[in-house]
Amino acid sequence: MQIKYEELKRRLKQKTLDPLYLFTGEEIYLIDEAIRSIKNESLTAEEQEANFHTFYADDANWDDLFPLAQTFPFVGKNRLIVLKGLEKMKKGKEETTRLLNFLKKKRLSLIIILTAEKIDQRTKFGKFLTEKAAAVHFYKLFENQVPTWIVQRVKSSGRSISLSLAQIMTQILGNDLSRLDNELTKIYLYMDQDKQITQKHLAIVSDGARIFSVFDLAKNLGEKRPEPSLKILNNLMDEGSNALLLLSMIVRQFRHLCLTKSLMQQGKGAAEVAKSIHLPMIFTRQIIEQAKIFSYERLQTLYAEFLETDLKLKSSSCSPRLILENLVVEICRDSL
Amino acid sequence: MEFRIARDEFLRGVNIVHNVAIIKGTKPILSHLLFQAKDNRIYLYGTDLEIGIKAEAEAQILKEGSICLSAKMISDILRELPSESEVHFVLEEKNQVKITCGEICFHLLGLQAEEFPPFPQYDSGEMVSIPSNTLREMILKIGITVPMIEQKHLSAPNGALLEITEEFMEMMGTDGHRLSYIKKPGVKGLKNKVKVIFPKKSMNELKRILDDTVNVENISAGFFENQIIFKIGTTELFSRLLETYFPNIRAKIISENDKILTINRHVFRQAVKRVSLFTEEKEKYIMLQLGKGILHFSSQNLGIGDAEDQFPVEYNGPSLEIGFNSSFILDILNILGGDTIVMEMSDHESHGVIREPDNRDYLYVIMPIKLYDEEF
Repeated sequence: MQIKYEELKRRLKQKTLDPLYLFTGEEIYLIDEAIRSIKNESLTAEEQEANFHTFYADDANWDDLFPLAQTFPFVGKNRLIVLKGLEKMKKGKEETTRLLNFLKKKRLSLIIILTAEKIDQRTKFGKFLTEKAAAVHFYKLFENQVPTWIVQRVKSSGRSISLSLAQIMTQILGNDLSRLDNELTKIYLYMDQDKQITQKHLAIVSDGARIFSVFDLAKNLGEKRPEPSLKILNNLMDEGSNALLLLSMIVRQFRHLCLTKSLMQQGKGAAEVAKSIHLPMIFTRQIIEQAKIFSYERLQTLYAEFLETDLKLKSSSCSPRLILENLVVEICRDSL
Repeated sequence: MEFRIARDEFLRGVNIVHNVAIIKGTKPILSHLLFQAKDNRIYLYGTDLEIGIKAEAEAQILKEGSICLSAKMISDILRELPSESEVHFVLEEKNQVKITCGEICFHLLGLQAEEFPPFPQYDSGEMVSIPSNTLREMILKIGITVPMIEQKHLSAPNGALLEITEEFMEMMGTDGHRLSYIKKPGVKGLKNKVKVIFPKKSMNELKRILDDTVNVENISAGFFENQIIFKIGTTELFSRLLETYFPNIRAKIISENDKILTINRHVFRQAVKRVSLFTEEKEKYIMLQLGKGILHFSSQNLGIGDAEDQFPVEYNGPSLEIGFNSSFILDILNILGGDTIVMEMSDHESHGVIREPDNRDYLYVIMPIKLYDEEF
């Protein structure tokens, strides 16, 4: 019985536990999160120490697993057994049949979770599991879904982060949820009493220096300061930053500038600008100051430059560092 | 370094320490034993860094000194020498040792004594005295439920929980399927309560030393921050303690079951042995059916056939059908002495207890297996 992750969460919230689960997909982080949720729903903290068992299909011994599954638990009422990596199972037909025969029986007070990257649904084993188990496929989140995931994740910890900052985190750190979660945990440790994650907090995490440098680059370009911009750009390139990522951050800055300039021409105040560009007031003020340096026409011309740079980065044999240096020089042309 | 020693005395000393040496490890020094000659005695040391054993042997020291020799080689050499002979041991140049016994001569390369891991120093004033027979019995009776190696999937540690106060001494072990518990009188003069997890390997080594030691009524025990030290006569055993979680299973010991049977241990053992001939090879499940005045056993192996047996028991309560792993029942029936045992049960989902009559200070608690499966 195929269900969605949201449905599984809803059922767990209602304390509905199934005797057999099948979790497939490549999003290991979400699979582990689902296992944790079932563990917390089925076992108390004390029971988890005694009645939670994880086996790995590539080296699991059925003679350890089956007797354990067959024995009533010492503490509490439930026993939870997780068998991970079914796709790596190197067992023969006989052993697979033994596992299938074992799984075919519901056992009192036993919950089994099987995980696999994918299951061949044409086999007897696959057919049985997809029909009888509560099966959830965990898709890797698309890059545009990750910022919302970050916002939700932070919210569940009782803190908050703006969507734009979550987008920056995604652009810098990628869409590996485990990594993002680790970075968030580090940020929480440094936040102390603060409840809102800001750029200041991002700067202290492992890749924070890079994030901070990217912001510095964007800020210096917004202020038309060629020397520090080139210096930061070279540092970032030396550290192995992705040129397209840096370009996207520069474009983001100038998108803010364009929007701000347009709003300023319409006579809008700082508060309205802040609302439109989804940035805290302190950063909005910086953007307003920077927008004053550029004419609207110049900003439009620069957009054409960004497009050209993007094309060069994707198609030219020229060094990405040189292409970006030329862009920095073009942006700061008036100040040279 | 040079000494003369009786072959049997030398072999006795080597046998005490050589078990802990790691023959096929990544650190060559751990496959060696350290020999120190001084004060008319040979001091022998062996360690795997978790356990260390120090033993002594009487010898005529001609020149003091120390050397490390392969545990396997020295043990093999001494075993091949004639008993009641005398061994002459000389450390020559470049860590080479010459061992002669009459016309027999061996040259064995060793390692420098300085390479051998140092043994911990301890304050013997902190040691307390424990009757050796008591400790031996505790290890024997608890050891059967303690897994030898750490099993990734099990939360049960590969060690026994040992608690000692002035009032009582308790040991508890579990492998996730069963648990055993023993209580003995406390230790006088103990300054602080002891609560440690004693590793299975150290339990085995201590029991082996106790088995081989005669005329030692009491042993000294010292409990330090992360290690435990036992002194059995002139032999010392040092063991690191396990820093892990021990499941809270005390409730199973306290709870009492209402269906109580007194059974002849020999008859019970024979019946279980017979019926388990027809259990599945890897899952040794047998079914017990308890009725008025009768205990019925059965087993089934789908590929071979089935078996049944029964014998009369003094029981007038409600009937019960319960499944157990026959190996776990045989383990305890083989260890218990006496002609009768008591078996306590309550229902097919709850633990069974096997114990000696009129004795709740040693309990063997076993979880039943699930009998009623429902198809998906």
